[in-house]
Amino acid sequence: MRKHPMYAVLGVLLLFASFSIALAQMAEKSGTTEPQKTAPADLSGLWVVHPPASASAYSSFAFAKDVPPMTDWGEEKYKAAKPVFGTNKTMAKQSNDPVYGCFPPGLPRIYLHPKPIEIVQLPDEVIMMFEYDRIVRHIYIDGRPHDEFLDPPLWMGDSIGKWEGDTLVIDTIGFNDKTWLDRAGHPHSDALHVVERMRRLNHETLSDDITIEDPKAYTKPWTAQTRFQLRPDLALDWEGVCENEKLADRQ
Amino acid sequence: MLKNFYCLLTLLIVLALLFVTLPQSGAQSNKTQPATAKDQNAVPPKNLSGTWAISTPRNEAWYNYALIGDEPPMTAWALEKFKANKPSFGPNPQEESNDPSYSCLPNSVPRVYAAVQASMQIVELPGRVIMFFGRNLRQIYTDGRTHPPDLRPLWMGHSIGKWDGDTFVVDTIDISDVNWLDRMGHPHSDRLHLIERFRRVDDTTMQLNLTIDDPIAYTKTWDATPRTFRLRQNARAVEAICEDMFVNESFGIHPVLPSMK
Repeated sequence: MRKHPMYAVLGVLLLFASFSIALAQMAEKSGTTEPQKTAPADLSGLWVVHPPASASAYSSFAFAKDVPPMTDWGEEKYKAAKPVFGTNKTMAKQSNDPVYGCFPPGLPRIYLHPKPIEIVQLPDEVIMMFEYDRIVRHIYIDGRPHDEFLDPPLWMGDSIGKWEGDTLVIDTIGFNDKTWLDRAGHPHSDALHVVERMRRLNHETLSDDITIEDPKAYTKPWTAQTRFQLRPDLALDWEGVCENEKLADRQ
Repeated sequence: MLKNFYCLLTLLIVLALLFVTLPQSGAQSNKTQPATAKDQNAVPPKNLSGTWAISTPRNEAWYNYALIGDEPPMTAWALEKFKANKPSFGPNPQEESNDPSYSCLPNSVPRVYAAVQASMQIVELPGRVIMFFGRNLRQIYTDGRTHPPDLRPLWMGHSIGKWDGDTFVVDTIDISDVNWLDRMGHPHSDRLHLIERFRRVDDTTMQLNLTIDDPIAYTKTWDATPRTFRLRQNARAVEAICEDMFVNESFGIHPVLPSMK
């Protein structure tokens, strides 16, 4: 008889536990099986990189004022790079900047090139169209995992995203190691993992908080931040082709 | 009394398990039933959105490179260009090709439809349709605008589109003549006027008819071989970087043709 209250408490606890499990599963289900009809925020529009004034001294070629802490492997790669900006800068003719070979700039470096970016938001993906080098990024937000079978790895990586409140969190892996992180020649390996938190600060301003994690090249993760300004007066120009400009120079 | 409480406990556990399992099965049946009902209905005909792959007819190897059935009647201007072009596809493939695509110059329309590897994504937005062919993208304006009178040639031309019944009709002019009409080296001029007719045949199939009107290159208007596309579910965009194949370590590019000025 003395055990009665205990059983009742146990029963009620079990009931609550199962309730919360069921609710959690329902929430998870609605999150994964049906793409959200109305996204919590709208990032679409034509944007141009607009870093804060405090970063003006280096914002055209690097994300940080100071060199991030590199591993020996990273140091070696950094020394081999011949950029046209930053502490190791050299003349354009001597540069081995991959973009001079018309190769894609990689991520997050692409944000250092001040050309318009158009964002189109669909229920299952966010598409970023970069006028610079005609790069298109597809960021899948339908709950799919990263592509595990990337061979070869990608110049711009494999991107998936999810909404956390009004912030789009973009997770990108699957990079090759042929690009630089910035225009100052900071290297990265194929273990690069970039996490971006993209949020509209107000109607005209988009902010992107970037975390760069690459244990082969850097001793610890480091962060960068950039901002974009809405430019509805501009239109995307998809006519600039790197090879075409090179051929025109030769003539 | 104790027995009663055991009964109550069992009842509570059963109820708890029901709470766990019921929403799952409910969600599953909700998910599957409308989908099958939807499959039986015709797909909304005025919807081209999605990722499409060119469907190759069985045993038709030429479909990989040719847009053309019967050889179209070329003008003297076009014949001269055709003879100078050295394609790596077709009846006489050349080892030393001067195909502009090997200089990583963009494929224009209609050449983008002459490759089975091509996967094409269509995104319909208010006032425009965007078509992605890897890095090559084109915008088709559906806001009622007309072609502007003073255009410079564009890689993909200037396109306007409208629905005619169940067919999306795209009218394109001002296509750069740098790239070829197809992979066999057929030329076109920048006076090419291309009409594309997209129509969904069923749930997963779309047909495209192409009419080529180029009085500088061809003596009459002609139709290309119709293209058939199949819808791909949960497709992933492919990062096709031309430079991977055609740019060397010292950044030398394959010099093929004059650039577009």
